[in-house]
Amino acid sequence: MTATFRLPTGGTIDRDTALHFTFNGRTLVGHPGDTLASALLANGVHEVGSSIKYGRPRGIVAAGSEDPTSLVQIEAPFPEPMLLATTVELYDGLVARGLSGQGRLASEPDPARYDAKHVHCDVLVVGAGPAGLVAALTAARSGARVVLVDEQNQAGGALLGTEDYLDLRPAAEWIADVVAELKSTPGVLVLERTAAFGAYQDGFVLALQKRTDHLGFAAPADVARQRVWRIRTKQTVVATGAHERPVVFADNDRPGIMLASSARTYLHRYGVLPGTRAVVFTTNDSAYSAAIELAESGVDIPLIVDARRDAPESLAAECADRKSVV
Amino acid sequence: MQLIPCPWCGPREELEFHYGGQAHVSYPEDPAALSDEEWAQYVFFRDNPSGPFAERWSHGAGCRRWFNAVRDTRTHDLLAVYRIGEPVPALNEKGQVA
Repeated sequence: MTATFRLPTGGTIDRDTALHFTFNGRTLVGHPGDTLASALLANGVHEVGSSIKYGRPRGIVAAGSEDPTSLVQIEAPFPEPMLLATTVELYDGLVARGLSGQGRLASEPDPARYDAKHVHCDVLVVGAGPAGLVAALTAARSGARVVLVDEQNQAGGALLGTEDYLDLRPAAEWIADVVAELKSTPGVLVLERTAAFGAYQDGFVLALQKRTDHLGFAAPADVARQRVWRIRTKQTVVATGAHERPVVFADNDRPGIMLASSARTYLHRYGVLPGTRAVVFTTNDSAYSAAIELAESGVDIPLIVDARRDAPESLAAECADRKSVV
Repeated sequence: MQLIPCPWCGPREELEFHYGGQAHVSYPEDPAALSDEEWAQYVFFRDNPSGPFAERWSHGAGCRRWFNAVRDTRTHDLLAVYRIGEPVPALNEKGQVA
């Protein structure tokens, strides 16, 4: 059983396992590797909640923690308000609903454990994208004590949303090799699902690791659900990458309007088509690769609007080959 | 959280320490000879500079010993630490230990 907008191949999801979840009362199916947002998009759900004041519909704009609108309330396994659908990893039995700006706190005591841990290092690398991975690897090879933190469930950062090649091979292979080398190097700590949220005096950095949130009902009771890492580092490398900024126009907050790079991430990382027909609006070259790759995956892109006076000829020609007007 | 370099233990987190006020305030040699005003000066009055300030610290959660430090009151930077009985380190114009 596959959702309508799910491609038959591609992405880092496990299509052989079905995860059943409930959103706004509807039972839907996703797969391990999905976020709630990608599973919703795979089922053709674009409207998540509504705005608090005027009740305007709100959808999924981005693919990561930069998403401004996809607020959801988790109801089961344990109530948790105001999470972004793009940051909730899917698990079997998840019950969630879209919010209009306000959630509901749990009325029963939280059964989960929480803890904190100290760690000291020579180099702290924040972000496990291509830059962070190379920084961590370089420091690790020199014998430094390294801590690498990344908020996502897998390393790779922006590379996960592309089909790019690095060192003449698919980026996924390169990422796997680098992470394997880091994890096998003594004195190197790789923390996934860990977001650094504050940097203080004398190299003191706080980070929050979500340890069992993604396990849902299967979370073991004796493992702390979340852990605060108190990191004391001599040097910090901030390799947090960049977020695409939205083009400003009237009604650009409506469901169905998405960042081009995020549409590309849904396509390549989750194997999800964010729609069947789209207009691409851009001010730079980066959206063309999204347009071309979406078109090749079966999205009808009749029009690409480039705010610049002259669209780059080679990219425009590539789009014309695919019957898209620039 | 700031690190404070204890002269006995090395750098430790600030919450291990207690503040002890201005350093180098010596007990009057003949307290009985002081007037009320002079006694009040000794008990209550301390310098309050904007800039380098010599003060006492105790490493309560570590070696439990007292030491002195010169701290810039504008930035909280500890410019120098030194053991009890040692003179105040001379600072250059940049506020570094000369």
